[in-house]
Amino acid sequence: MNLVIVCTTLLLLLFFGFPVALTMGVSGIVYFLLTGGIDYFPMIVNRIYGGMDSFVLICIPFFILAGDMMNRSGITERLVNLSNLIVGRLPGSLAQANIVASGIFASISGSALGDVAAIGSVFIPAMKKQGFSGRFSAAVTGASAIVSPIIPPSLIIILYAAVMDTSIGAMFVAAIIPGFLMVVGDMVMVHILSVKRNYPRRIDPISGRDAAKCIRDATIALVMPLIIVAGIVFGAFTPTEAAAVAVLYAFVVGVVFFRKMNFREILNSIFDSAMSSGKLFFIIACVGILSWAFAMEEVPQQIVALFSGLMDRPWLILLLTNLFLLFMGMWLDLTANIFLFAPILGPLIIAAGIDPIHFSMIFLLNVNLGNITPPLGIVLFATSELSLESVPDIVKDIWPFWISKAVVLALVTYMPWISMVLPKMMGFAG
Amino acid sequence: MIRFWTVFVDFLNVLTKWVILLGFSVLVALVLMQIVWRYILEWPLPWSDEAIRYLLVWVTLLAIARAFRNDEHLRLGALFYKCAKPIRNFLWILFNFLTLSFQTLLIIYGIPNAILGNFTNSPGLDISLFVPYLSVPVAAGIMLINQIDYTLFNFRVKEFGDIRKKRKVL
Repeated sequence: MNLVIVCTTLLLLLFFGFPVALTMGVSGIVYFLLTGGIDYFPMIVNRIYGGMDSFVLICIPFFILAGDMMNRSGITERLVNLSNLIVGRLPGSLAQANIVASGIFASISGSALGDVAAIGSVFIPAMKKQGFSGRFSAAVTGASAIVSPIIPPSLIIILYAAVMDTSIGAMFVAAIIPGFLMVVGDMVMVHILSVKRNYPRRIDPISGRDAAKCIRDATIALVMPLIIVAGIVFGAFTPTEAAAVAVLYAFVVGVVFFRKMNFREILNSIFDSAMSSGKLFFIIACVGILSWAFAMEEVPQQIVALFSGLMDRPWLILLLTNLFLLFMGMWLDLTANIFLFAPILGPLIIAAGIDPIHFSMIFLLNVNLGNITPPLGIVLFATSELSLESVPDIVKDIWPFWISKAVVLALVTYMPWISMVLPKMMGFAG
Repeated sequence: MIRFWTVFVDFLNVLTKWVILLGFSVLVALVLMQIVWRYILEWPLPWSDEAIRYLLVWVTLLAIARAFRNDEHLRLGALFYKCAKPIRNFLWILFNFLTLSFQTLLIIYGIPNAILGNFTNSPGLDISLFVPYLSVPVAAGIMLINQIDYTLFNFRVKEFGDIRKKRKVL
């Protein structure tokens, strides 16, 4: 009964727009009031502090800072040029370039909302100008942005690994094929729609000299994610060290190579990154209060007991967890989903004999897809704000992309080799 | 009185901003220094991990407190704005009450927790745990001041909800 009251409070507060972090904290406090009264209140401070004082999470602010510095260095413009070079001859070339740019930008930003802001602000006006409808431009931007949290190096992979104690390197490698499939799925959809709607393609050729400059500029930027991923996967750096090296690299690129960062820009970048990290850490800290309530109610054990009759049918367990996570992804931010539900579902998955790395990909794809699932997907609102198109209008054009991603999710769920082949090749899994 | 309050809150936020900037810069420098000492000089610093952790907690908590000034925390705001005005006003008052209560709890229970830390020293830096634990009540104090200021501002402009565009950027 206590749990029902807590979950109802959680959903109502979220639904009506109370900040996500505070919703977690207040719901946890409701549990304290229902069970131990104010005797449990000192726990609030312990959980807040304990949630933030983690060595694994130190890398997060550095990844955010490196991505922000790269963005301020004018990387978006260079990636747009590169994408245009790669797919500019295809039907609906600018929409295709939007998807490719998002896929590449993903390796630098690692955040869907960051992707929407950076890529969307360039592509949405440009696409409208070329004759694409506003809602289609917004839909392509939103749909392609959710590749960001999957393609490594990704912040949510690091968070998931920190919570579930899985290998970050293994997860980075496991995410490569699913991320690639998501990009390909979006491109196929754009191709079909562009042919059907007769969307324009680039006609003017790009000279060899311009192409070479475009590749050189983009390569300078793309070395950063390579340093991070290779450094972590091959064990040269810890994630924190890799992130700090990435900051140094982004600083050198911004100040020396592209010369876009002056002292004020550097200060702004540091401050904005600290603020973004603060907002993320606040969710992590407050989720700690609520997850303690879930642990006290033995929710993970109850879930395993509930599904004990289905242990010989892991496909059914996966189907049910997919539906649950997809639903929760519509409501909750990625971080909150990971910190709340990964520890609850983890024991069930292990009991059902499913590989934790395989499940981590299913989990992340699900909650990520929730970000563009109507009516509450947060990326839908971000693209709506940027494009000035209404959410229902964007939804009308985002469905084909949603379906393509759901197909990728189904493939990753029921064909484990898609996510497991690379970790096995790299020696992360048996 | 209102003028004095506004000047005080603005000063506090500018100060917080500079502390965050300085703290984050030192944080980056410390991690880079750690890499140099560990891999190049092959002489790992025994205190750096702890210093980084404590500094990160301070910086992020101050950033959280700063974010309350303009109500910048992540939320699903769309449904709130679709509610009828009386319901929206009721929700706004409820949300403010819950937020202020939460921040007050952090101060009330954060201070004894910090004092308790005074009796233990950290193994690496050999400083009292009062220093890192103090971050919670200090940040909660700034959160509370910012939340009160935000609430007063809402009443002053007679509009409950999204007032971000009307606030001065510090």
